Amino acid sequence: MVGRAGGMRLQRPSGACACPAGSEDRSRCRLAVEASNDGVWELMLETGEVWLSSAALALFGVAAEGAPVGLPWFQARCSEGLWTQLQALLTPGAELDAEGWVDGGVQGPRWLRFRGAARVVDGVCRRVGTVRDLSAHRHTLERMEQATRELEAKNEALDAFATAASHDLREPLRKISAFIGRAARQGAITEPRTLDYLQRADRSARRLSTMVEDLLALTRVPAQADLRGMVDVHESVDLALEALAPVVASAEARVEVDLRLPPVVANPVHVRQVIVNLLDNALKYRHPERPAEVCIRGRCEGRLARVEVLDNGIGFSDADLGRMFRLFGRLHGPSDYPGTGLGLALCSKVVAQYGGELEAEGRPGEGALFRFTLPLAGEPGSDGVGYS
Amino acid sequence: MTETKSMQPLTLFVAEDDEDDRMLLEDAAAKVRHPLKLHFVNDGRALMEALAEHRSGDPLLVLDLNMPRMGGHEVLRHLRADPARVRTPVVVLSTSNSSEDIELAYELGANTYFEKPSSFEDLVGLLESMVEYWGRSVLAADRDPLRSGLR
Repeated sequence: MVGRAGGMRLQRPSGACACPAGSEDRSRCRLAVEASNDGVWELMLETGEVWLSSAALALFGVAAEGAPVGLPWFQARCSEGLWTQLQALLTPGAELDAEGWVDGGVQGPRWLRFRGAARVVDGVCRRVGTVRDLSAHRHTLERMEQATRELEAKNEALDAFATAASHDLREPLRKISAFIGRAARQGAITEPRTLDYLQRADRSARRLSTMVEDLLALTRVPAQADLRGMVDVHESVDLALEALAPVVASAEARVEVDLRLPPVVANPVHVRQVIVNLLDNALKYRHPERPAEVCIRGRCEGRLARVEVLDNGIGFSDADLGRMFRLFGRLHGPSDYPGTGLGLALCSKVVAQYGGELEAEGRPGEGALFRFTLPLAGEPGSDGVGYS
Repeated sequence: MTETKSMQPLTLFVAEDDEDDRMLLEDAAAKVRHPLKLHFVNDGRALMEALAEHRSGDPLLVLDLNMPRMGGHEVLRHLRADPARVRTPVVVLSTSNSSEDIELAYELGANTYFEKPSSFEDLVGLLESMVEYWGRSVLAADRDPLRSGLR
């Protein structure tokens, strides 16, 4: 490829280097440019040429010492967008920071960044600068953009599914329940066994209905959290306790609340949802032989709020941990403990969208501890609430 | 309720394309203490046509959202743009519990939104509460010659 490009003449323009005067400065400047792997260029309008250093020529797939090339040769290898940006140099005094594709010869298209200026030195306008290969960076960026586009398309598909499911999946289920209820109560069916069959079918329909609801709730948790909201966890716990008051009463449970937390960044509905789920679990999986005791504790931990729900229920073994957080993962049969197996998966997803974590520890027959973190809204300790 | 027989029936225009739901509504209406007259139409457009024919007062409208030809949201849009139907009470009765559907229905002027219940008793209760809440005003409007004469 050497010297074959049209209009290329292998000669160095006089005084092409725009370094400060003095040989020491010049050599330092050249070393710096070489060390940076950047190419150097000068646009010479009066001769209709562009001088390119050997590093710059290499970017166009030409292995040669620094040399001037004809403007038409140069323009033919620049993308239209890049060439338009380079026109800025026509104005004396202009600064240039342009990026675009060029024809890199055998190495294929390269994405280059041209930086420079049209400087007037001793009454003469010199258009000089450096050029750097950003192809790898550009490819990464394009791959990321592509991945983002694909992710957005998937999210849209998921939203469409949730919308359709919110109507289409629920409708037949509702009717199954409604008609079973209607048949069972009309008095036409008196045979106890048939009635029992109907009731079993009804229970299954209701269970499936709850599962659909929970699954929909899971799909409705946005992938990107709204990070503008501030939530008082004390209030979320109060609301959760209020919602579960009948469950607390029927379990004859003792619930202790010990919170020392400034506001957190989250959506209040999400925080309440997580607390209700964890509290409901603590009450549901209570030990049959002792009164249920639940403690909800909250402390600051660096820039995070850590909330724990501790119970003295039936607990679980380490081997059960993985299954608990899986979709539809259940440790017990639905007739022993009702539930869909989606609660913890939902909590985990909700907490994760704020950058928090949900963890669990359990001891079979002794109790369980669920712990989640959420980012604090203000500077830690700024409202006088200390760390523990 | 001994007075049931003498009570003036309350007219409900029900836009519902689903055969099963019509059946359930009809059965449930029969259990409501106040006599109800249910006029079923298959879709929103049929409802608009039926309303244009109906000149005696404001019936209570029960609207499904997902219907062929014209859905519930579109019915609301047309209805509230008509000065004569601005006050017509509209109850949306839909399977959807999506917040978008609910918010849009209220935005377009629905008086209330109910998710279709999965228990028959709840459906009866829902009709009872509709009668209790709107029955008086709907029946009064029906008897008002001035209001009826406007259409």
